[in-house]
Amino acid sequence: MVDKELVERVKQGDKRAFDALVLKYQHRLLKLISGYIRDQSEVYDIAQESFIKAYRALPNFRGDSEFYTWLYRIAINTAKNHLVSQGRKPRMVDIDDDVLGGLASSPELSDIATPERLLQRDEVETAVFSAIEDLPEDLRVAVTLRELEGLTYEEIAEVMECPIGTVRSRIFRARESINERLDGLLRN
Amino acid sequence: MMNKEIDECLSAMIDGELDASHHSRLTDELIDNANVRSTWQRYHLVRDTLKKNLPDEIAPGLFDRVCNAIAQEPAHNIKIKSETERKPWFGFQPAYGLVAAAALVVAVVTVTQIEQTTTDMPTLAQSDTSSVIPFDGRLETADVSVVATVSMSESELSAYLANHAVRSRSYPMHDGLLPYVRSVEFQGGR
Repeated sequence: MVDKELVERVKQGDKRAFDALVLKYQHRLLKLISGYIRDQSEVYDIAQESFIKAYRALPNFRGDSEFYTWLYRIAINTAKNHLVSQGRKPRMVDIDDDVLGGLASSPELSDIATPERLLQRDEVETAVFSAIEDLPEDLRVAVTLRELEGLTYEEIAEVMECPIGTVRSRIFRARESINERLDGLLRN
Repeated sequence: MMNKEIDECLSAMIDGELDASHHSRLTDELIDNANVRSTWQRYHLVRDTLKKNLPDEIAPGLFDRVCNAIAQEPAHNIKIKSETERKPWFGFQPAYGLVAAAALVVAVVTVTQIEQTTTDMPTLAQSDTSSVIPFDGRLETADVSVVATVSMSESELSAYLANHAVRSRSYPMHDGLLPYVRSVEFQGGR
């Protein structure tokens, strides 16, 4: 719904709407491309190229599929073409459509990562998970059910035996609290 | 809306739980307000972290690079059709609708004309019963010397014939005969 609205704005000439899509999908796209290309500077180049290709092709995007599926397909094709042009093979097997939806972490990818990069990602992960641990129970349960279990607000309200408005408020407060923890880390 | 209120709406929006009527306004905020965009980025960073979707390296440089590149690109200018323009009328294109409407008008006029012809005809009470041949209760044929006696009074038979005359004339295209009436001839020699 949000993506659709942003895509329509871009089509109507508002480039800034595309920024919001970049902010939303940048990490997932980098992760996806990292599955094909080892060199991080190349990964960033391919990600940038993919976003630009997506922007240029957006008038042809009819919305028959989700925006992210379309974007991921562009990224995969760009990565593959890059490897072909370099006469190289992908670093891992093809990622099928099922994987595109989740992009769950794979042990192979973690093994390949360098210690410095792992540390950087680990810092963020540690900050987020410790912030969740420190949340009051009602906030922690609400945000966990939403983010990890994927429950809707209505389902969470049923589980927690509270109104939907309370669920919405708890999840928001939990996110605010996690954000505060991230603030210090990202500023540094 | 206050900032907290906007952020709470944003939180609901990324969960797909925001009322559709608020989407447009919040999208405006997301595009125009740098603080809202920053919150949006953080919320997605947290989500990607929890879902293990983070890349090996988290560098803010990509966003700036893409933004700078997009700034060099021309803006799109596609006119979005409104819902009413996009959806055909009851599954038909407007041109087909006009044809259907014209056909309907022709059909109504034809039926009205037929009805007019029918109502112009005399009713049973008004019909000219004098033109009906009086019946004496017996049928005679030339070839067969069979006399059929019908147990029907003269007035009843005259009324039936008058009624039949009126009804049969309401179908002019069948020359006064009802469409299901068939003429047969009896040949006594066979």
